[in-house]
Amino acid sequence: MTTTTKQIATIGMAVLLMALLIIPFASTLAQESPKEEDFFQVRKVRTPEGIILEVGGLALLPDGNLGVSTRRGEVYIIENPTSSNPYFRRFASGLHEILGLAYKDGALYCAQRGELTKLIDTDGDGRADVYETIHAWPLSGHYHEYSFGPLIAPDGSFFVTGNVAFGDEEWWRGESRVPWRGWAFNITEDGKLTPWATGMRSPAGPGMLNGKFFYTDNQGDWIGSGGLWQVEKGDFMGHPAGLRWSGLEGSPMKLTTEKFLASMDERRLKNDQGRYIKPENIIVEDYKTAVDAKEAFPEFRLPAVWLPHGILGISSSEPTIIPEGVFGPFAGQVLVGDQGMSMLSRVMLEEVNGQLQGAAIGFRSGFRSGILRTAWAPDGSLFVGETNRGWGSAGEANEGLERLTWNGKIPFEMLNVKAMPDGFEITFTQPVDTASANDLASYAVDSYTYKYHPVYGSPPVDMKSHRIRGVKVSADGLTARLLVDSLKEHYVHSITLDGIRERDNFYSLIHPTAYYTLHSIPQGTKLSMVGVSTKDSSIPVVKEEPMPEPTVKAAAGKTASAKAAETAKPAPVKPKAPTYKEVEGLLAKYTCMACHNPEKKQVGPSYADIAKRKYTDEKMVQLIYNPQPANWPGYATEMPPMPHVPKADALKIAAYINSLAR
Amino acid sequence: MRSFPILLGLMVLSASQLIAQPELFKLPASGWSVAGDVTIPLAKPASAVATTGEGVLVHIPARKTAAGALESASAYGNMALEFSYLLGAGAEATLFLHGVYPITLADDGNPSVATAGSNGGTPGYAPRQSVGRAPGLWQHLQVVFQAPAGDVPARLVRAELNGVVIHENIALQPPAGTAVQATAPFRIAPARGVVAIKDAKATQLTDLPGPANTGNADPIIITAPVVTMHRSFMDIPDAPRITHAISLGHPQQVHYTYDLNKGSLLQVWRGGFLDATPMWHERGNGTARPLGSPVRFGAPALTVARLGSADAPWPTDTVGSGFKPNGYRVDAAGLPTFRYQVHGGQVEDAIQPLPQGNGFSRSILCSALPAGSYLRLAVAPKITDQGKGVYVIGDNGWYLTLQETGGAKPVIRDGQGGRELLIPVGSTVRYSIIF
Repeated sequence: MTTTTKQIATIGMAVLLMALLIIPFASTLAQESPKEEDFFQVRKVRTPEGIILEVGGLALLPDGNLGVSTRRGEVYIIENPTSSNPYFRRFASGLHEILGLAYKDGALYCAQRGELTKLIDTDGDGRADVYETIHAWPLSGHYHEYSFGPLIAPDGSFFVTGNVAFGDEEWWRGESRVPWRGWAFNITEDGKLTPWATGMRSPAGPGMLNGKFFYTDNQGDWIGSGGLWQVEKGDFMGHPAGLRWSGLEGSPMKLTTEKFLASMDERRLKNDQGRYIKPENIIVEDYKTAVDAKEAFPEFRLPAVWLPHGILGISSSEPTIIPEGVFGPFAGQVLVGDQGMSMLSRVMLEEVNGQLQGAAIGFRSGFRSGILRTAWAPDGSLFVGETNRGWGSAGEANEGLERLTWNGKIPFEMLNVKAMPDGFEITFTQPVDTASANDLASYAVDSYTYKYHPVYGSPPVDMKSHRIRGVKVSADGLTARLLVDSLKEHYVHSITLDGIRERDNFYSLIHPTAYYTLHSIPQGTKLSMVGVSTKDSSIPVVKEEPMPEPTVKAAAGKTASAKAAETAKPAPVKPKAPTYKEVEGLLAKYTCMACHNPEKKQVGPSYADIAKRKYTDEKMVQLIYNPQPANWPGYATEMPPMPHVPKADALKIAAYINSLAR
Repeated sequence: MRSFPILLGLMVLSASQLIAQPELFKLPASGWSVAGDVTIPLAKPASAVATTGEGVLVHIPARKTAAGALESASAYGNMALEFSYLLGAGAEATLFLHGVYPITLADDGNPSVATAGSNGGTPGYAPRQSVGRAPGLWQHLQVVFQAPAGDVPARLVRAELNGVVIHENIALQPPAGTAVQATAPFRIAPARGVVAIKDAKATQLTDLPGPANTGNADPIIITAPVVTMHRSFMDIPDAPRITHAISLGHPQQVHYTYDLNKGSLLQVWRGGFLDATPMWHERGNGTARPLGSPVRFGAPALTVARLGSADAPWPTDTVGSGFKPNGYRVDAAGLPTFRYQVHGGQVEDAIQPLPQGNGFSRSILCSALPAGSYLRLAVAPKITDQGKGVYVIGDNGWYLTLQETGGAKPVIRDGQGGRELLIPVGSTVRYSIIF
């Protein structure tokens, strides 16, 4: 810097200032890859004090105003919502937990817990004076009986989805106490209800994608992980509770509870005291997966993509198609929100052999609260409606309305991932550095699937690493054709490109891992080996790891040496617990950080609070493998079993957590 | 301790039984008489009609008799006291705890801003809410009192009027110059108007209760400075959870809850509007609770139904009725008119506060209903016809006054829930609920 300043000192003050500003910036860029926030900015929507925007629904109105419905039962219309001076009018109030809002023909429609309601302002004073019940459906009065929607179908009718309740003694088991809990149903403007599909558990994310009905569900019993499903009439999505009503008039569902139980074990077992036993994950068992369910029940609908739990969310919400011309190269792809992780994921769908499937990847995190709803603004930004009350989220605020804007710069990302007969084809938003892209060490492909069982969520099971036989990089550097051994149908294939670098600045990918749910492997000719690189730099030389693995290794080393010290000395010395830095990589790898923070309550308790329970390290490992949510009554979201965490790593994490005890 | 044998006798009685008051109060007392029941004619609300019998002590002012105080036969230190009282229009009396600490019992019109002199007030403390009842209706006061000891002043540990906490843990200052005594009798002194007392129960306490456990959540209270609608689940005693309830709060501080699934008025109350903590704290359970003291109208059932015959039982659910809610329209004042279809006809149901704030006026407009359709206006163990369209519902629970029947004649009949007041469906029925 000294020489630089001397050189330009004679040139003039203005240039000097510019240089001072530019040079440090440029040097920073050369060292550090840009991040999500360098392309997509989270902006607030100025909100008057006192308004609690626990957003349950967003609807863009034809005049560019934004309708917002809230869990507190209010509907606001925000004028100039993308300006620096939005104006809020309370359009309606006093409704019951409105978890959806839609506009049609001059009226707003919203799903309350127990009915679809049309709100009309007949006298033009900016406030609804008609609250018309289009259709009221039954409820038992359980807190979890939320209703979501409506979506407006191309024919002008409405779709609503409904949560299951939970059992009293079997508080872990989703129950459909009254018709149509656990169902999606269609309602016409004149109030006729047609049951549409069942098997839904917590369908918080209904979405109309290109005129077709999709939804996301939340992990729980029978739902191994969150995901995105297309819904067609008569589909069974997987949770059996709603099958109870298959025989009712109007039901398109052939599958019954009896038929379901003939193939699937609900594990409704009692102990010696006659009390029901909560089903826990059985680590070694002959388990079933969604594919087994699909084989048993033709009505069963596989998810188009799984959204891996703890990585791309823990409580998926609304999906939306990215319109043309707003978020750069990603037009036509799907964004899916998540409540617990306060993030958006991006989904790239394709149809293979008639089966919808594709890849999911992170897009933007760091929102202030849990994302439930999104709506596109006329200026191309995305309104993001948020709430986390009762469940907690990575964003610590309880609610919020924010706006995601794009600054027009292209992030270095996987633009698309497509299945090939012999691997995957990955396209990039920017040309890749050829040397990194031709190196097989830059790629890793692993696969796993989820169990289909009555346990809360599923660990990833049957995990396997796939050999990468070669890669062919296109001349323009925008495509890498990856040859992968023994692809597994219906498995999630995680495709990690840690070693890939961008051509001009040598940037890393902002999101290096995509998760492709491979239901069907396309037919077609396999790639000839002409022009395929099989170079693998990881074989002859130790390459520099881009991931923070070294810290983990250091931690392991320390523990080992501490153990050695313990055996050497006659008086036992307690091994030094790993520090946060030393386990951070593990916490990220095993998705612990999706729900836990060292000091703060998020979706789950803080590590400090867990440490107060004074579990032994061994006990804590057992609890990682088979969590006991009953121990934490103040937390709404159950922890899924995590038996795939190797014991050595689990012990390390436990030792770290226990080191926080005061 | 010398009152112990009497207390033992009192404590074995259930709350619903009448207390043998001659044992609790020194009787005879000047100006008080023993009656079987007392009613206040709505047309002449400062007067009273007493029937012979036992169980009610009534003071009806007379020119020749001076009003004396009812005084307890025993002296108490720390104590729990509860009794029901009924006041004529404009009447007032004072309960003197420990003989000297006053709590006002008054028909004061339930002002929206209460003072220390309001019904349930005590010097220095207005009741937290105005939850008194209209004249002629029984109301219930429950008090836990801590006697003064040395320099430690007396405390009102808790006072509940009609089931609502109006004071909790406040220090009571004795009138100047009063010597502090360990025990003293309590007194009820009438000042003016008709005063009746029943169901009185006094208990010497050795242990005082601590503060009520109301959880750890910051309360989320919905007030009604303007007309405020609020949909929620609603729990009422002895009925399944009401899942499609709407409550309406009015700045006159009279409120109601309506079951949209049956077109049924569930409850009315005075005082604060709603406690939404149960539904809005964390996940919540979807329910809100009235803050004030509700008068309830029984398990929800259709208000309008077709009966196979005049003595057919009133239906308990909507099966076969074709009931379909249509929602509501809100007028310029923010008040909703509920609309629904039943038995192929259309019903519009509007409930508005009375101008005096002493209740609601309800108008039910029916069209195209089949013959044999009725409105059920009230169901209660007891319904008393006072004539000219005035009915006393329950044990002086509330008044119903019919304003408009479209020429139809109301009938009182026996039903499963006790007595029922029915009226054949004409066009419009309008009646008031005074509570």
